[in-house]
Amino acid sequence: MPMPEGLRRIYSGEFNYLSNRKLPDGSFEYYLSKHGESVAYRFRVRDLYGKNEEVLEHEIINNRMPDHVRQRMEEAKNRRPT
Amino acid sequence: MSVELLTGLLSGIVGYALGTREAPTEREVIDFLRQNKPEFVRTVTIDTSQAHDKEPYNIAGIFIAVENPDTPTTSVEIRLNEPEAYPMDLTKERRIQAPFYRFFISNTAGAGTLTLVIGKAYAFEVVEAVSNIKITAQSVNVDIEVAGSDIQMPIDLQGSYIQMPIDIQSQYIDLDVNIKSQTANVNINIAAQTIGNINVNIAASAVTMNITGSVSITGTPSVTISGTPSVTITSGSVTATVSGSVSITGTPTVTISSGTVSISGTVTVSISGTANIDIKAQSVGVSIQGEWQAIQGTSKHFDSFAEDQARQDYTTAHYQVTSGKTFYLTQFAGAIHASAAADSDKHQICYGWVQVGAAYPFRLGGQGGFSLSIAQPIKVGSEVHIYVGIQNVSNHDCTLACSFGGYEV
Repeated sequence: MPMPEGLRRIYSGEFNYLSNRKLPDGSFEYYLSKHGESVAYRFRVRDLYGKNEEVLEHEIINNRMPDHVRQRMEEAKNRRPT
Repeated sequence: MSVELLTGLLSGIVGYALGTREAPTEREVIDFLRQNKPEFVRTVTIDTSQAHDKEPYNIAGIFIAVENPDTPTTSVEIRLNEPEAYPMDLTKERRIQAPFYRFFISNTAGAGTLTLVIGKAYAFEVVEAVSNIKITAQSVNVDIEVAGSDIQMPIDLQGSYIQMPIDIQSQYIDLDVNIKSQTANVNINIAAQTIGNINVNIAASAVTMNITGSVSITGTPSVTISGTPSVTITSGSVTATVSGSVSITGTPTVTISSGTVSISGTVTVSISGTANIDIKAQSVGVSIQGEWQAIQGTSKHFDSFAEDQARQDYTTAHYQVTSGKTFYLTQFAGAIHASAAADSDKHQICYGWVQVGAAYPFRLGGQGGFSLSIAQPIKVGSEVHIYVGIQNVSNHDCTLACSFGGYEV
């Protein structure tokens, strides 16, 4: 099974932010992102860097600015001050 | 000249002398020459230091060769047969071929003597050795055109001492050297024990050299550009691989009007003396390394969060530095607060640490948390593991958070 992208990013150093949350079962939930990318990675790992490292969950998260916020920004940019 | 050729050419003359129209035999020709001893050639020397005015020379012949046309300092004119005939300048003509029974010489007093070789028979011919070629005139056109499918013009000069100065002087010179070929090899080989000077002096307001290939200069040449040269590179890229040193002396000015200057690898800039750096721009930012790496997007930030941690429990944010890179730690922080609202008014004490490999460069403690901005970044080498942790040392359950940051290059 190929290494999930989020975990691969840790080992390749291709990220700017790496957060973890310690869970009651001893595993950690990681959240990894990088400047300029519209996606982030959330994954749950047990024993990161250890011999028995195990990825329990992995998902790609949309990291883009919500469309409704983008529309408001465009509107604010184009409207003259009243 | 061979006897056969002489015999053939004289056959008409001798036949006429013998009173027969039949061609004489070779024996008859030789006998005729032995008995009559005809004069085929004679020389005439004219003293050009004395003036002559159509001075007659009653000598017949069929051609005149001028031995030394360069010697007289004044023009020497000759008129064939009649004193009013068209004059020819013997200082410009090397050979005149025409039948004549007499000639007349005219010249103003100059210097030197002029020697004429006068041929009196068709069988006699003088071919002069080409030693000097001298063309003197107000207007000269010398066109040399060689056309052929296969032309070979080797010039082989061999001598113990060769001097070939080429001196071209004029108000206007148009010297086009066009070499057009599917394949052209232009080899200039100068091999000598000692080469004193190879001077290529190009003095012009502008010189254009179009080189589409590469120019290689090997060895340890020294190139000196004096004066006020200007080097302009309009497009493409310039790569200078210098294994030695580059020295710029004097007071040069380097101007880069726009573009990007990139220096990769390890560069050491040493400035001894006074360095004045004058930066004038609408927007200029000078950043320290940590700030610059954040701008470049190579900064890294880590954090860990753990809820409801009992006394002595802890959480860590950690990272194994990427192989081949170095991580610089610039800050870390921790926070603690009570999990239950009932414990909020109590002391929430935490203990924090930074572990780099087996070393602990920082240990901190605090109530409610701590933070540290590191003025001198902690260097974490390639493949070394860095941990930042926070531990609950309160007597009740707490939520813990810790973070650290830096840049990896």
